[in-house]
Amino acid sequence: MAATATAKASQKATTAEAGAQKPATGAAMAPVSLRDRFEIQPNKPIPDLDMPSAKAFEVQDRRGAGRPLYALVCRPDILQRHLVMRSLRGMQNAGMLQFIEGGVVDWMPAGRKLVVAIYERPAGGKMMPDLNGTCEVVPDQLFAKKIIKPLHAALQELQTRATTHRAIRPDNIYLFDTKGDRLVLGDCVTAPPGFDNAAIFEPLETAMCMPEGRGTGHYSDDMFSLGVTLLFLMLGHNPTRGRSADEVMRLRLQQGTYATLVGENRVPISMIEVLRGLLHDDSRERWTIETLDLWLNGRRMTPLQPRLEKRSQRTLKIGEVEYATARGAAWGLMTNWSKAGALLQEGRVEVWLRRGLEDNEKADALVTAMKVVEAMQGDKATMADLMIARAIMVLAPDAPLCFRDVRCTLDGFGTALAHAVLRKGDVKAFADIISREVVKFWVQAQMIYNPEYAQADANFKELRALLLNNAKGFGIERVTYELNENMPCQSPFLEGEYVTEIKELLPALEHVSKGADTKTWPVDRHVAAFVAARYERDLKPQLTAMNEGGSERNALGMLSLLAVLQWRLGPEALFGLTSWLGGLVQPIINSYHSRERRKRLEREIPRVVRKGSLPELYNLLDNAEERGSDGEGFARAKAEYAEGRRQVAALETGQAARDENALRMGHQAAAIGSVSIGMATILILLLVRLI
Amino acid sequence: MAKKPAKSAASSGGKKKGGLASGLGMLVMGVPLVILFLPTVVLLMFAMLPTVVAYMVERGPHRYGFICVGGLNFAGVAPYLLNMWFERHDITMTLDILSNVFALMMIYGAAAFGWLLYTATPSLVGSFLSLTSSRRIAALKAQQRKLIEDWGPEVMQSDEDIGSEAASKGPATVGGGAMR
Repeated sequence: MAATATAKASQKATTAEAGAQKPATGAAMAPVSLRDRFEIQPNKPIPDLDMPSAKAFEVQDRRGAGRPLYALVCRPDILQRHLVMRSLRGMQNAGMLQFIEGGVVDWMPAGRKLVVAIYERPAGGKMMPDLNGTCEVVPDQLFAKKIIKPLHAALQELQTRATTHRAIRPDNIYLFDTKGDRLVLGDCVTAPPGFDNAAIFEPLETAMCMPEGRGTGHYSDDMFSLGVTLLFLMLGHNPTRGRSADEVMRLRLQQGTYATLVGENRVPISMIEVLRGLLHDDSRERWTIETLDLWLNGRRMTPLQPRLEKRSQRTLKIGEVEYATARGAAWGLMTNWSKAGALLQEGRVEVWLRRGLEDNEKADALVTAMKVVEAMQGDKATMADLMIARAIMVLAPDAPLCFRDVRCTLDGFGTALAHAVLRKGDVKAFADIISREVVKFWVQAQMIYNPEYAQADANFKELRALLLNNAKGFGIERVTYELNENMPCQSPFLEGEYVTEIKELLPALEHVSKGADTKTWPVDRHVAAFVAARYERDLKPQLTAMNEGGSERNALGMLSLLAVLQWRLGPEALFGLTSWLGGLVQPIINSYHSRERRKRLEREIPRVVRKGSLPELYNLLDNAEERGSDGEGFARAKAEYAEGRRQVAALETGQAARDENALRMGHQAAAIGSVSIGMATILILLLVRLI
Repeated sequence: MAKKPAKSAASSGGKKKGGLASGLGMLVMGVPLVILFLPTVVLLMFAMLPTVVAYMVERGPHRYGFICVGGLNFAGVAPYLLNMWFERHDITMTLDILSNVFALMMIYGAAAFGWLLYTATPSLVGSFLSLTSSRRIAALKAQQRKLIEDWGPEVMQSDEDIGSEAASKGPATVGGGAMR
């Protein structure tokens, strides 16, 4: 199921990418403008400067002094590093390709909005066209000066800006001039951190992750990538060529990265110290930018020795592979998820820990973790997954968060989730990680205290509360937007748009209102979650109304939500959107009892629509005074009706009483009449006689 | 307890004494009057027979029948009574009247009319009352139709019918104040 979803998502992503990059024709040939200054030429691609997640095109700067620029047009199905764009703006460093500008453009060839990043164009192209290619080897005596120094300078500058590069690899290093004298580090904003890096460029902890789940990481991750890149450039080729990625990973876990990558390759003696320092698998021991700086300034240090993990006398076979270390076994479990459950249930991992690895502490921890999971409530499959996840935490506490096919670091969780949402993939594993409090267990399993972990644990607790609320404005959508500041709103209404900021939402909805299905409310789960995550003021009344029973309350909540946004953030007039909502407010009008009032409101809506004001539409439909008087009038009318009904019933059912009454009254009347006649007769006769 | 029978015996003894005194008084006053107005008494005795019959046959708490018959019965006998009083007040005159078929027809006919009136009036009053209530029902129903027209069929729901729904729903405004 997940595989199908992933396959579909990949297919979709490929289609989107192809759409974004297909040769432009007709109107699509027209230059695309960014900030009214940079004109990107869709008909002038530069394949040599393409990135794995972005395609390169020529750019004209209207205000520029003729300096060559190029644009990287990003894929729509991955998140770009907008915060890093902000940080790099204005940065000038000899070791880094200058980032000029970035933003969203209406990319005609793809018929949608896409993110572009504009850089100064390097004249000499890439140092190494791809990882399987070769490059000219720089002489040993010039290596530090020509290669390490500029890259070191770039990383130092990035550290002063509190930014990690996370895309350091030979095919992202450029020769800035045609002579090849100046080396620069390339783009790092068009894809998530480490996304385009092959696993060998990542430290073991992040190499185990899925590419989108590697997270922003730390400077030490950049230092590791730098070490691998330097090795590539020293050798002039890929040191792992001829070996599969899986095999390299297994060897790294078994014998350490340095031994795996350097191996039998000839490395200059002077560089061994640098490589050992940079390729150290323990991030705390790894060389920092300061250590490298000292080395560049001539200070020589004793080469670091890799600290090898305890090896087992006998191996643990998981799948087709045999593992001798605890971290290796953890990797085996996470990559053989379907078989891992049985291995744990049969107790083979525990036995191997006790007898093979002779680590009773770990074995006891594993048994305790499994017992805790067994005692928990939940469906069997999820509990089995949780058991595997906890077993991995016991075997390798520094391994990433693992749950089914999700493998990510704490800070990479958000990006990984965003990718699943962007590719319309399965997000159940992510939801389970939050709802089953996998992060809490992961933090508990860590050997070293880190305040960041405690903070992450608290954040995930808050996310859990949001996730478990199934109402509009909450759920996994809300979690996605909360975790990814630059996640564009994924509402189907906004397909083709790129809305990352709250103030862009209403203009985007206004833009799509011409072609949208106006019988549907524009506030779907994604829009509601996006607004709730991005808007800093309290939206509780609106969200509550939206999720209450009754179509009129839902409609009123949605209208109020959008009206508040227009009121606070503008724009002043939204004719299309107001017209769209104006056609959907019938339930609100119907919530008034008075037919006369309803007719009046219906008459007034076109006037408000012509003004394009949602707050006015809301005020018209949800006027407290009007509601009060309507309610009072209705209560009076109801009382009047009930009284009338009571009287009618009394009149209709009182026939017998009335008959009795009539009989009595008739008899009385007859008696009075009779006596009166008698008296009158006497009186008349007496008068006749007397007169 | 002991006082009660004594008291009741005294009171019953008093009543008996009073009844006897009034009976005696009536006899003392009545007999000379009967002797003095014998022709009138005889005439009335025979002429008012329908009233006496009506009184005797009527049952129930409200006895209007004999009043009704009596009123008209008396109206029927009044001309002859006055005639007797103003012309010749003797027993012969009384017998003349009572032997006059026309006079008897007049007296008893008037009494019969009284009975007829007593029988017919309730249905007339009933019809009148019924007509009034039909008009009232029509007016009330018209008013209800107008209420439905103005406020919709919801107005027909009683508070008991919609009580729970209204309580859960609360006021219809979203809250947070108007946007101006």
